Amino acid sequence: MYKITEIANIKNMNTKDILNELIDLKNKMPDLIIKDIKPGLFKHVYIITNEAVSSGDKVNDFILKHFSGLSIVGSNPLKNFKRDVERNIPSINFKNVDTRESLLEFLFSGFTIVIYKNEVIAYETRAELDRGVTEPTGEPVIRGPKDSFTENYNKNIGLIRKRIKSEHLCLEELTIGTQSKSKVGIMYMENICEDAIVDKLKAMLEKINIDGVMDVNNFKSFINKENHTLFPTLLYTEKPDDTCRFLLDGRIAVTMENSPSVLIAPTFFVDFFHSSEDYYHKPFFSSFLRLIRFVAYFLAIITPALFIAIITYDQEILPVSLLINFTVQRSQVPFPAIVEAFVLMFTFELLYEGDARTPSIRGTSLSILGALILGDAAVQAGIISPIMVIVIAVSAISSLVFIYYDIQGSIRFWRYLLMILAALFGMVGFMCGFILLILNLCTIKTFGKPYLLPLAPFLIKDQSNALVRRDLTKINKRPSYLAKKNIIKEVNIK
Amino acid sequence: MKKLILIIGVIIMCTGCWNYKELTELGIVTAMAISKKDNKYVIDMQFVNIVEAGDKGVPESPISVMSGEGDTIADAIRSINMKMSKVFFSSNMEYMIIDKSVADESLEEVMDFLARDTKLSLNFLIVTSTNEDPKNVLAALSQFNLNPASNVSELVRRSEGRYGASTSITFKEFLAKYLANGITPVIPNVKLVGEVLEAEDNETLKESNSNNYVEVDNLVAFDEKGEAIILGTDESFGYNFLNNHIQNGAVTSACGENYFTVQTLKSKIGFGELKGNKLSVDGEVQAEVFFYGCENDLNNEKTLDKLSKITKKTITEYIEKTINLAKEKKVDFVGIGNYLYKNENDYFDFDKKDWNTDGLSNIELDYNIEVTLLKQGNLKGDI
Amino acid sequence: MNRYKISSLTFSLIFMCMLNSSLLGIIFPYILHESKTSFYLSLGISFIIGLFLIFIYLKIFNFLPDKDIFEKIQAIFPKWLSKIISLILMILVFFVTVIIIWRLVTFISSEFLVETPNIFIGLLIAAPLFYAMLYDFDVIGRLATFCLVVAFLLLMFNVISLFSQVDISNLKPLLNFDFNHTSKSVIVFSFVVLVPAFLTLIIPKDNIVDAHKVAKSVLIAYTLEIFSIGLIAFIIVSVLGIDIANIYTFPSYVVLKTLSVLSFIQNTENISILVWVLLMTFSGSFCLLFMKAGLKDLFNLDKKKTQIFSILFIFLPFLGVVLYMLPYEIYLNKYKYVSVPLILNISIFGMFVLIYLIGIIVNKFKKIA
Repeated sequence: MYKITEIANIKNMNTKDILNELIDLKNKMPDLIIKDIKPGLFKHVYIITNEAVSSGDKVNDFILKHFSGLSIVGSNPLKNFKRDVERNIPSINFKNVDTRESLLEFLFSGFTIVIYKNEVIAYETRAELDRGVTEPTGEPVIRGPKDSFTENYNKNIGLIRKRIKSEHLCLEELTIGTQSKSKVGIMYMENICEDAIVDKLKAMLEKINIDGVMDVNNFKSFINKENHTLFPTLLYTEKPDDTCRFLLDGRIAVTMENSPSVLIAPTFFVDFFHSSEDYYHKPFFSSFLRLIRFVAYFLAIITPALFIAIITYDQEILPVSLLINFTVQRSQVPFPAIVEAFVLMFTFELLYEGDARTPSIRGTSLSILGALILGDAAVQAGIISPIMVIVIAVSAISSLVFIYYDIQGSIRFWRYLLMILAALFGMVGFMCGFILLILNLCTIKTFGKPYLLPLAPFLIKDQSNALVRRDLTKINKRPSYLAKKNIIKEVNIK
Repeated sequence: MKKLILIIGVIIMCTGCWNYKELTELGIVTAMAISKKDNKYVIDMQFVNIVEAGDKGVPESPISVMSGEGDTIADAIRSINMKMSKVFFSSNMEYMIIDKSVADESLEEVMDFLARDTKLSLNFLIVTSTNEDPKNVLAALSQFNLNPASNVSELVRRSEGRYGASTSITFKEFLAKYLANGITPVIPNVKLVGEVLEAEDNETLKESNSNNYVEVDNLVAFDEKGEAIILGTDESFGYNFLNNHIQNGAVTSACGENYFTVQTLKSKIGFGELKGNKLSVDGEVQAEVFFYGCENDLNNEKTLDKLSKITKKTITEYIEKTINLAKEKKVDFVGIGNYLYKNENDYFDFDKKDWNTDGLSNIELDYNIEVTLLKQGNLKGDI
Repeated sequence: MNRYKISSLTFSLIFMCMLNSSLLGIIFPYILHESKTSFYLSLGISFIIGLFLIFIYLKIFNFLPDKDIFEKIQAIFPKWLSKIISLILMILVFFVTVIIIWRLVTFISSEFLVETPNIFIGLLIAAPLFYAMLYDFDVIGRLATFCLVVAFLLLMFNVISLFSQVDISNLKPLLNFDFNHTSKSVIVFSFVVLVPAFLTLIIPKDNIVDAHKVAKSVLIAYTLEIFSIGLIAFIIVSVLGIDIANIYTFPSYVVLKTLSVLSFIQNTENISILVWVLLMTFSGSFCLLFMKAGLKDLFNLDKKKTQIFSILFIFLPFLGVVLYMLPYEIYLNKYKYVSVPLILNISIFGMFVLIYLIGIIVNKFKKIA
């Protein structure tokens, strides 16, 4: 595009040289606009801007109008302009430009460059390039705030600050990425949070040595590396109300520029079954929803394995009528049950992935294809048995109730492992697989704390907001395993 | 280490799964019979035919019966194995016919065979068929249930509470009574009505007025030599009253030339105290008038008193008849010995002496059964 | 050295899980065989004796609170002697583990996977054991919480669905008291049930956050456990009758065969019984961890080496012995299945007591000196 030939002070350069270089550049860069305004005799003010990154309105309203509309009297139009801006328009920034390098940097980040004789000033006329605050797409809501984070760093922090107007909400900034130099912000409530965890997280982030990070999800590989597990140990959310809830629990939020989601740490197993919506419903209903999610999680993992174990090893569990029924259905299928289950499961995975990546306009054709071909035609063709379709469907539907996508990985892995063990050893193999699953959960530690908190080790005091949720007036304490200061919430509603 | 686990996993995967059985490999046994012919064990098994009930209406015969013969039970089963392409699956067996020919010493072998099998449940029923070849009972079809085995087991279970002249016994109860001191199990007797049909014949299912079906008969107990002691209707009633098997039994007694029937609502009869040689039989029966054919006015209190006295006498007679039969045959199927063993441990030495021959005949019984009539149905008096 | 911290609740849950280690295959068959219908009498007496044993256990637990049992040995005895004593203790625990797992594998091979070669069942059971062995006691403490929740749920399910079949007259004759048989079952019960739980001495008192609560929570755990053992025995005898309960190898499995829920779910014994698989696997892995900690103390190993050493020195011979013992089920079936664990457990208990007594004497001498 343009080449930096040398680093030189602009003051030592003739403005003509700069202008010539920019005019050369315009040949390769048609979005570069160079205007020559003559406010007086033999006075040339050059206004240079890049229309792709700067807002045309701002340039028109504040710069061009000034120079063309107002008759600028006096010998120094630039000085007058500066004074006018300072006095009347506080929201516009201007900066003196010293070097050729910084001139180009300002130009490409949306500033308008004004050159008069040997003086160069850059005015901020940045265009709003990111999308506005929209509804969350990954975590749809029915009840509650419907705004979500965007790619704009300041906007994200604003969305959080808007909700917690406290002087204790701290923001520490880091720069990560040797090339991308992304700005990363660590937010926490200094009067609630455990300091050791903040230090630990900061140390982990500072250690990251990589050329570029594109999203907070990149940090997954650098935090809590010691766990050999597929269970998510960090939570990613795009909802500011969720984030604020976590912050008030004493957790830390990590935001990054250009990332529409926020990373929450430390998070535990039960947190992935909670949703901010739980707090907007009545306690009974939200407890019911939580229990449904827990049941669904285990159903998603165990149903195919349990079914395989029952129909190939422990058939006596089935009543005779059901046994005959299943046998009739299975008698037309040439494969062993395990192969049948794998084939169906694999097709479901294809559908799932296809559906997730298909634009919604084309989504209907996919669902028709899936429902018709898989549901009916495959059964008709005698490739799979109807009961297996039901079992896999139960497992698949159960895996869809989760808000946080990360939990899917653990469901997939353990589902297939249990299926293989059940096919090899029946019920005992299934049980052994289940013990392995629980052991795996027991071994995980996030920031030195057991992942299964507060279920194992069992903390009686924290049960009011774990598997179930009690009334908000009853949850008057923050989680004892997270908050170390100000443990009691001040909600004495009488 | 990960490689080691992978290698072990691959070895297991490649060497195969030993207990793995597809549903289609199973021959589902719904009923079984053990008998003895010419000193050889004969085992009959009723299998479910896995056929899809298509749109042709009634399918081909839903069951098939296979028989095997051998010197031991294991041999007999092996000989069925030769004829079948499928693996026996007997966990869901509904009932088992123990023929009187194996009710003697060979009963021990049968019990051993049934109890040792890990896949067998303990909940199937035990029945016998004194008049019929067990194979014919197994081969009979039913109009009410496509699975004739579950029809028979339902039949036996229902007849116990409703009618009162039969009782059901599961293998667990049978084994417990077989092993316990001072009690012999009582088994319901099933018989076949109508001509003998082959199992493959499904004519029964096509006719509405079938003359070929299985019926529950009275009760049977076996003595040590395998002789069947058949309990008549009265003795069966007595046995069921004593064991509190009756829920809604009908008791009919005579009043002069006519008769009346009461239906029991609640019946609780059992043994009581032992005084010297005298064991009391205490109990309370609550009943309602079910049918009334006598002449006296039912509205009169005295009539009701009289009726309950007559009913009391009838029930006492039933029980007396049962116990007398047990004493006469010297087989304690009522469980007096077991009751004494459990509650009056010093009365008889069960380890050293034989209760059936030495103890049973010495015991005297004293009956105190109270009958109260609670309701008289819809009518105020009689018509 | 031991950086993990657990709460007294977790500790008592581990204790409770370890009490279950030999119930299925050893205690239930034996106690019903010996004391017949007066099992509750032997249960009651063993409960009182058990309280006494727990008293001794707590004494040892409170002695030198910053050290686990192997470090206690090292502190009391001279170096060469302490190594020998630790080794003997480890060998005894090794065989206790072998018997627990052997009983589990024979159970599986006789009731579930009849045709599967025992070596593969052994390998299957080895997977969770191996996995649990890589971690420390806090991980297994969390596993204990889960095990007991599942055990409790399944126990409640079984008891409630079997309750309709309870026949109280099966418990009679109430007293066929016989001193010989009752005393036998009392001794077997108190030692074989309790001593495996004494292996929790491997957790030093100082590693427990609220150590002052330990005595109370252990006693509560013990009482609850004895209560549930009594409940299970009551269900076995009253549902099956003492005669049937005595002819089977695993009466607590057979009683589940009679279970029928709502009259259509039958034969669910293979699911309900999995609770024993869970608890026995847990006990096995705890014993293995005990030996791993012993190795660590004995040879002063660092973390990485401990993993490798423990796998080489414990796991492989352990697996070998288990697999080798499997075919000999028949020989050990009748009485040896009780006498061997009894001798092992009594000698472990004896060693603990001896260490404690000598420890007190040594401490006094040190004070005088």
